[in-house]
Amino acid sequence: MNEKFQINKTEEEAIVNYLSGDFSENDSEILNNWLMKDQQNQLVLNQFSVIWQMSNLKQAYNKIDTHKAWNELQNRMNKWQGKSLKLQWTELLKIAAIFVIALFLGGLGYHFLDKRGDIISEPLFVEYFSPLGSRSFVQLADGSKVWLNAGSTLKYQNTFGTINREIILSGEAFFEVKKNKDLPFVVKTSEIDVIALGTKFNVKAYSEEKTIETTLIEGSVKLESNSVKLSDDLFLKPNEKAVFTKKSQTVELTADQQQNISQAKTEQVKPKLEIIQSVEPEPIISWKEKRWVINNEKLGNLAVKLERRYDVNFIFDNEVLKEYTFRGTLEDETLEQIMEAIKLSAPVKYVIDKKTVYVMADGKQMEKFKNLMMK
Amino acid sequence: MNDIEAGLAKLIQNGDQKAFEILFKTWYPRLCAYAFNYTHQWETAEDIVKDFFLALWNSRTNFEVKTSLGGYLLCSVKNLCVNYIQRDKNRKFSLLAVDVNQLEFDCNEPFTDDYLNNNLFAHELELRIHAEVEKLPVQCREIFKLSRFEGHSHKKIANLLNISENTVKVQIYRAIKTIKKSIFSIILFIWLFS
Repeated sequence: MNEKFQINKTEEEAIVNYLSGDFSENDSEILNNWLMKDQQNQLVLNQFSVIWQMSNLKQAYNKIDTHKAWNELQNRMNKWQGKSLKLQWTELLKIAAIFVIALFLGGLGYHFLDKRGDIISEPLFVEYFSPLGSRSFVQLADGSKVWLNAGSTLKYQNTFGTINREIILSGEAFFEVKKNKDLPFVVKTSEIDVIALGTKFNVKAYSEEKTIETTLIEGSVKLESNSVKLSDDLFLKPNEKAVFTKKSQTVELTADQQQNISQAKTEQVKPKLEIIQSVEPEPIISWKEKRWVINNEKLGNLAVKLERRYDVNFIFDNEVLKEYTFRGTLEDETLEQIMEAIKLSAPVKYVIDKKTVYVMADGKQMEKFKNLMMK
Repeated sequence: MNDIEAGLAKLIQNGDQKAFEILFKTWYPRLCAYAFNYTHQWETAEDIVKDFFLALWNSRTNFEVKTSLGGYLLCSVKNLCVNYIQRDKNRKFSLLAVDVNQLEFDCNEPFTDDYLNNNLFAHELELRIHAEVEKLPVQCREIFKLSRFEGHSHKKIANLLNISENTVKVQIYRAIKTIKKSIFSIILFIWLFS
């Protein structure tokens, strides 16, 4: 059948380069000309492609874990299944979008008033803000996904994805980074940079907290610090959590009444980094789901999370109450329902007054629980 | 589309996860291998195929295949790959007019459509290629295996065997040409009778 079939050495090379995906503009031209010469050539190239593709199937079976891929896909399928959940996210997205537009216009206006012109050359910042009491989901230009917890801010330049992939985070976020070996994905927090190539991880860096916590779920990330020298190649493995104690700590007057008020504002401590191995990831990352897992959490810490999630303030009558420990799964409960559950499992009473939750000791219950107390 | 495929498509349309799992597990490695020809990175290929399946599931009520299921899946993944490459600025040369032509060709030409449409036939073809590879002259065979079965670059193969990159390419072309010659009649035969 190939009597008319004609091909020269350069064309052969162009075909091999084309098939292996490593070819130049020049190859492209040669190949296009060759295809123009004879209609038959397209069919031949096609047959070559078939052989080329079929022959790397074996490699695919070695490299690809179908079972694992299916599990991952199933998780993602279920995540989007609930209609109510979908609605919730879209609503959050709308809110987030309004913030972005407002900030963007604000930035633009500022630019015009301040400098007039020169808009393209100066990078603009895009900012997402997830207000207290809500969470948001952001898909970045490079396809990476970010879940932003309540009271958190995400900021990046409009050059994101072209010359770098740097974002600035204050608060807590979960990242699902799209792989791109040439442009590392960098999450900058006040004192720690988390560098990722293509992974899933959680970063918690609220300015009012003493530590910055990075938990890796999949892949690997590298940690760098701008306030202290860390070892050169500090990589986290899956299910490891790095707890970095910040150098400058903000002590809030209202939140920590029992602490020494005279040393309020910022104090400097010696920063340190601790790595905790084989942590259970679910309680750490479940804040982004409707289902929220709490594992051995002290009421004091839980209250901080509830403050962000429901946009309220907690006031404790007695610091000792903060030491009660809880575990359990919350699924879309209201604040009242959660407080009822807490009341059942610890000797506390509560009063919710507008945006403030007062937590007090319940004297009658106290006796019963006394032997169960922590501390 | 055969009865099994039509049944599968119907079940998926009605939201049957098990049917979707069967479809996924049958096609995932093959679609990844296919996407790999465009992305040249396994992770990216897998991401594209996974995203495709997720999108397919989310719009399952509209899931309707007129001709062949395989053709539909391959065509969709190919479109996504082409989009991906077009977005990737570092690789502007890797997409030719050829690719766009071939895209149409793959979707319309029964030859390409049907050879993969039938799972058994695809498997048969794969075995046949492996058998033909074994018949190649020693150096040619070794180079082809390193390239296709092991996934090494031309440069790496050249270094490994201490030959020039050009020799590698010449041998690879010779291998494909030889394989094509001996299996093409079979492809045509099965196509005519399937």
